[in-house]
Amino acid sequence: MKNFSLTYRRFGTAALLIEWPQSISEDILTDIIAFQSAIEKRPPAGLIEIVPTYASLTLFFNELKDFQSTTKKLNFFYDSRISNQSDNKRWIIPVCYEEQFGIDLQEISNTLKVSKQEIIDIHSSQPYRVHFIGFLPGFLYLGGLNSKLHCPRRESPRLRITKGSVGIGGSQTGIYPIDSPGGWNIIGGTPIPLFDSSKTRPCFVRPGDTLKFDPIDQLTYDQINQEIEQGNYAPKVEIL
Amino acid sequence: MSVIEVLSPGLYTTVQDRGRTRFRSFGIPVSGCMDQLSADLGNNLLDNDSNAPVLEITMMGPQLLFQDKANIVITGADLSARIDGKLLKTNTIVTINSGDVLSFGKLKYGCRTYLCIQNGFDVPAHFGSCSAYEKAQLGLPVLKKGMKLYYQNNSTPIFHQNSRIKPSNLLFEENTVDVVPGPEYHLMNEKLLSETFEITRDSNRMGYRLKGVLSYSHSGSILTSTVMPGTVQLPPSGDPVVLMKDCQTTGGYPRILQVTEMGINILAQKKPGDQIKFTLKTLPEGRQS
Repeated sequence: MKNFSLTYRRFGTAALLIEWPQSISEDILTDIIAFQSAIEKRPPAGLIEIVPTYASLTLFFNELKDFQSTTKKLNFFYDSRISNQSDNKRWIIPVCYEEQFGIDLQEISNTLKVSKQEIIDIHSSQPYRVHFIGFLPGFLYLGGLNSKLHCPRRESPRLRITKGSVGIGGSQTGIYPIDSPGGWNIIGGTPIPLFDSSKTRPCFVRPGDTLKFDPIDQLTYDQINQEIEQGNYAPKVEIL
Repeated sequence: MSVIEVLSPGLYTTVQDRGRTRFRSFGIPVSGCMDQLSADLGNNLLDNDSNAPVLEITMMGPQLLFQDKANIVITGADLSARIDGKLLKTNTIVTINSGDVLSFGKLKYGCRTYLCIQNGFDVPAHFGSCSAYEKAQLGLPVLKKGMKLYYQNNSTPIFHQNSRIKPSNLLFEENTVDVVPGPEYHLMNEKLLSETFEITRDSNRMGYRLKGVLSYSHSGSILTSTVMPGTVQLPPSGDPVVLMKDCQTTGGYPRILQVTEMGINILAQKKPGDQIKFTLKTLPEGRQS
């Protein structure tokens, strides 16, 4: 694997921040995941958890006593990392783009001068890589939105966007995992719960996985919703 | 199980413990007591587990009807706690009798009062913590009229029955908050360290928005990265935000400073309109590339 030049520094008194060159790329993502699993195999003493973002890993400790020797050990793990891209899954996320869900579709169609159908086609034609989870419980940071769909956030954010809403904000697309205020343009809705507080692992999607949106009609949305309520629905995975 | 009935909820009253770590990579905030030190003092006195859930009361207290006996300790901000009109001692164990109504009055100092109870409040845990996080419906919801709080009332004698703790004056009198450099310290104008900031009304368990005299507006930006309670973010507008216990796990503003744990406790006892200053401490070791 290509070796990146990493920076190690303390973050507060009990965390260690490891930084990659600051850009969004699949190579960096793959490297972060590989390093994280190498650390998880032999966690340094007192490590509580590891949080990945676009180009960093933050290691939270009970107490970070010896910064120098910890980073030395981590450097050694970095050299022993192995890429495990074969573990990545591609999830099919059904999305209803009809008016009752895609409440801003008409408006962004006017702004972007792209027809509603074309927006739906572009949005659902390519897979999106999951870089990390943050901002809200279960909110996936997705890479790779087609530049034709980049669209500024709404001037005034909505006080409440319902869980499952699929939106575009700037150069990003994403799904609101819980009800939340937000300024993204909403183009559709998914019945799939991306955050489930009743599960020990609240998110089924992991960093490195990809999502592909599958356009569905209201009837299918309702059917899936019913299956979810009855506990009969399992998120669909595409075999690559 | 013994019951406390909420006759009135107060301004913002929640059950909190030490919060939920280990789930930040799912985007779940840490939550937990804003002023952990005050909660710890009460739990220690009661011989409770250090993670025993307590009630965090903000500026205006609830009215609580105890349907059973209870040993409690009230710590943190002085909110003139009373039992049937009579002022209650704080920072010491008090036995509440069945049928007593605990109420609160004028805020004398501080911002957050902790009601600790022997054995802790019995609250459903999510991801290893009983702390309320309203947005994702974790823990018990914010107190409402008519809600019931449960606790185990065993009549085990208390070891520290007559002891009293002396709360640290630092918490309530100090207006300097210790910080260490944050990852984007270099994007900060160092004049910020001699500024006196006012805590604005737009401050809550997620974060404190500060307003200074000078403008610290800037055009620096970062790729979204990790943040934690105590992280001081500097949005382009130049008004710093100190992230508190319910803060999100990642953020896109420069992280100029990091408030120490003690600094978070001190901030938790400051209310809108109060003034603070930062004092820069150095990290035990420098940076390494």
